Amino acid sequence: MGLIDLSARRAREARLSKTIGQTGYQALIVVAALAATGAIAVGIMVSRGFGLCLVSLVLICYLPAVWWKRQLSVLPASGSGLTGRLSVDVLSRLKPGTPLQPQSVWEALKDHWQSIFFLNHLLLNDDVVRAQLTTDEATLGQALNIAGQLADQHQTKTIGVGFVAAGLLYTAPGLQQILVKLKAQPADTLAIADWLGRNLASDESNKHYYGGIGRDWAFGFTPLLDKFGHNISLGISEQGASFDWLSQSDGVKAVEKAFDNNTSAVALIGPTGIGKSTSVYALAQRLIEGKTSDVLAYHQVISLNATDIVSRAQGPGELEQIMISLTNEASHARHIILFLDEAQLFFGGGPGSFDGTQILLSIVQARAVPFILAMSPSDYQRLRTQNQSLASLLTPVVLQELPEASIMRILEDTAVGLENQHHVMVAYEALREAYHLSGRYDQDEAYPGKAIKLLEQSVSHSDQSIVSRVSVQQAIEQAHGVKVGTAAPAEADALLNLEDTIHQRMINQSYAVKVVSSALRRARAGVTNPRRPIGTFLFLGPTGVGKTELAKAVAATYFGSEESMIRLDMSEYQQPDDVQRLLSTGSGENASLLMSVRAQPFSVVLLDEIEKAHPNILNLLLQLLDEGKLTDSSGRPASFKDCIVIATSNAGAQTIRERISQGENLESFAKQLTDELIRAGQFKPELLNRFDDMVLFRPLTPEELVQVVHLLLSEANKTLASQNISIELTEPAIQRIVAEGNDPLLGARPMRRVLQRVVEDVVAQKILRGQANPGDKIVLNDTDLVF
Amino acid sequence: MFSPWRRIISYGGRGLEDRLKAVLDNLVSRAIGFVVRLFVLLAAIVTMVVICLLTIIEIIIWPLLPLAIPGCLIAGLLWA
Repeated sequence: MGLIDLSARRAREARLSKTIGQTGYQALIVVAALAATGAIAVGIMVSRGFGLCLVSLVLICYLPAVWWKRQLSVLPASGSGLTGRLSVDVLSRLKPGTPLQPQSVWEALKDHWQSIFFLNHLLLNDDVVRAQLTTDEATLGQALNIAGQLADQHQTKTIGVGFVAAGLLYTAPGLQQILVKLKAQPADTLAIADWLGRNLASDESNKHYYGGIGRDWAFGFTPLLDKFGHNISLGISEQGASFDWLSQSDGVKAVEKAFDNNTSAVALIGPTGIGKSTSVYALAQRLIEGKTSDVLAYHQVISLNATDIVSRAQGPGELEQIMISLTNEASHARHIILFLDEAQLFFGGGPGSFDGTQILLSIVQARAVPFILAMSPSDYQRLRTQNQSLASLLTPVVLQELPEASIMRILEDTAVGLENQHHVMVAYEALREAYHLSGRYDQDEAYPGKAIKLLEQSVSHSDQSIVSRVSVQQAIEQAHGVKVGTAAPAEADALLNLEDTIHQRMINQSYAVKVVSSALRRARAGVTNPRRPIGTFLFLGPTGVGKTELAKAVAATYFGSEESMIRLDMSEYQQPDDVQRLLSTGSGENASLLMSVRAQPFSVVLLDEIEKAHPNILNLLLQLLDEGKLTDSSGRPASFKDCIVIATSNAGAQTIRERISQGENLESFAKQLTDELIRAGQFKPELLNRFDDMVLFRPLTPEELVQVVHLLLSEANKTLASQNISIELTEPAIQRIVAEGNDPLLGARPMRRVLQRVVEDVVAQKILRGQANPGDKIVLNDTDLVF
Repeated sequence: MFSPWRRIISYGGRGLEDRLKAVLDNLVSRAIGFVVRLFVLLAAIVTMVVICLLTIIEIIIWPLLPLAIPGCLIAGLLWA
């Protein structure tokens, strides 16, 4: 006898069960019913004896039907051996003589929906799986051992097809390597088994008990609450929604405990997306299932919608009247908990809100009705500041973010709903990607809300009804305007030729362009540390050599627009108190760095003249460069992980000029220059060490300045293109502009001004005098230019 | 058992007439509550008794059913 005894009675019964099947059972019942009808008819109309004979036919059909239904179709586990524990679905598919090894067992089980559940969610096909399974009996032993453990974990006595399939897939070493290549994780197989196990358990126990008709008689009629509120308990009992996964959470228990301790109002505190409303739904489910203490027995939860109440009231007086009437009705009906979602709207905390603080205060003080008020931490802080008396009456319950494993479970349950609703298949890799990408790019909401939202958005990006990792990436790219997927061939080409693209608008500075381009390629390929900004650079060099221009080019190339740049002149931050200005959360014309980054998280942050900032500011930058975030006074972080941080400085400009004039290369003295800057006390070593690269810019040569003129001229021609007019400068004219526009201290910076003043003025005059018409090319010589 | 039906309670006014009216209303509410609860309890008791009887009958008859197949056939043929 091998691992499984296929000749055992249980195995034979399983095969018989499959032979009869649901169709056979139904046929037996139909024949039994017809025979019973016939027996009665014949007994009355023909002969009682023949009628009695037909009764024996009824029993011949009825007895095996009952045997199949009660015994064969469920085949309860018997004993601890594998033959005694394998489910009827597994045993019935293993014919006598089936070789007991992974490949043949998979072959027998692969058409079962639970096996397909694995294939679909791992994005595998049967051919791939079969090719990786062995014909080794010992491996089958390991697989069945894992299947048994999974069944134990889910407290099921029988080992179903899903658990056996999970064991087979998990113990196929080649398959695990394939999963890794597909960017899945080996543990995903077991995670899907857990997901399947919970679905099966939920199907078995989906008939919830909601307390019978006596429950409804425990409270009075509530016509006004029915009009303005939503009865959560009624909704759950009618629609059968399940919040089992949350009903044992710390938050729900804390709310329950607070009411047990005789509090009359609970403030449920947590950021958007953490599950405040869902926790209340879970509490409502526990209440209708009668799982709470006697204090809360027979209570139901009714949610009040502030917006709805405000919109239906004619004026402030009526609002007050409605609130009082609602509370009186709830108090009179008894056994009602009122839930105020977005409670800040009730105490004047948002646009379109009304100030119901005093009404709420008197209601809560009277302890007439238990209340749950859901609000964000900042709203709770504001309430404590503005209305201490009301805040002191509330028992705060702060919801904490759930661990990753719990969030993944919630995403799995969400996926089931999405699959049913949209007729799609959500791959497991999509769930994992939704978790990671929402964590990285959505800073406004908390888990699990943000991950659920992203997964829902991904459905519209499904390909052939499959929601995959790519669908999630496309959804986040659309929502946040960031590139997270693998670079498409065209984009990959652009990245590989980034230097050429930047050089279309930058003259020379090859070393700087190369350093920055390499960093951007690394970031786009996903090989950088995701916990830090995409790139951090310190640009060192004289004025007017292209430091800002390179930052603009990076913004345009990487983020798609020069507008994607947050520019701060650090010479305006020379006082110790300026730290607050940098972190201020107030909006306005002079938005702080923190607010700018929150509004524009995918951008180049340009910190001009960083050496002039106060040391406190520089210390703050250490955190930004190191952890990729800054935190405001209320403890809310702003992420810089999707920013490219560029600091510029003129420090060392003189040294660079001297060394370059002596014919040295930038690369050769970069390290020495750094040491000099540290020794001179211009920068602290800990600050310099936190930049990915220090990029040195050298002064422009006369030949490069000529190229700058050409570049500026082409920009001017682009502007004039709409009028179909172009400008051309002769060589003497260019040389003259270079001579006038070059300044030893300001570099090429005055060049644009000179070109505007001299060339564009002449062209403007020509256009106005009618000397330049559409299609003309205006050629300017040095004698035409007046400086 | 005698609680007002679905918490429909009248508190009346200050006058004697109002108070008497409230007492009458509350009596009606309690009477309705009593009748509804009484009928539901009776229905539940009857249902439980029927289920118990059917279960007992099933326990007694179930082991005999296989024997009833030839029994019915023979008795039927003899009777016919």
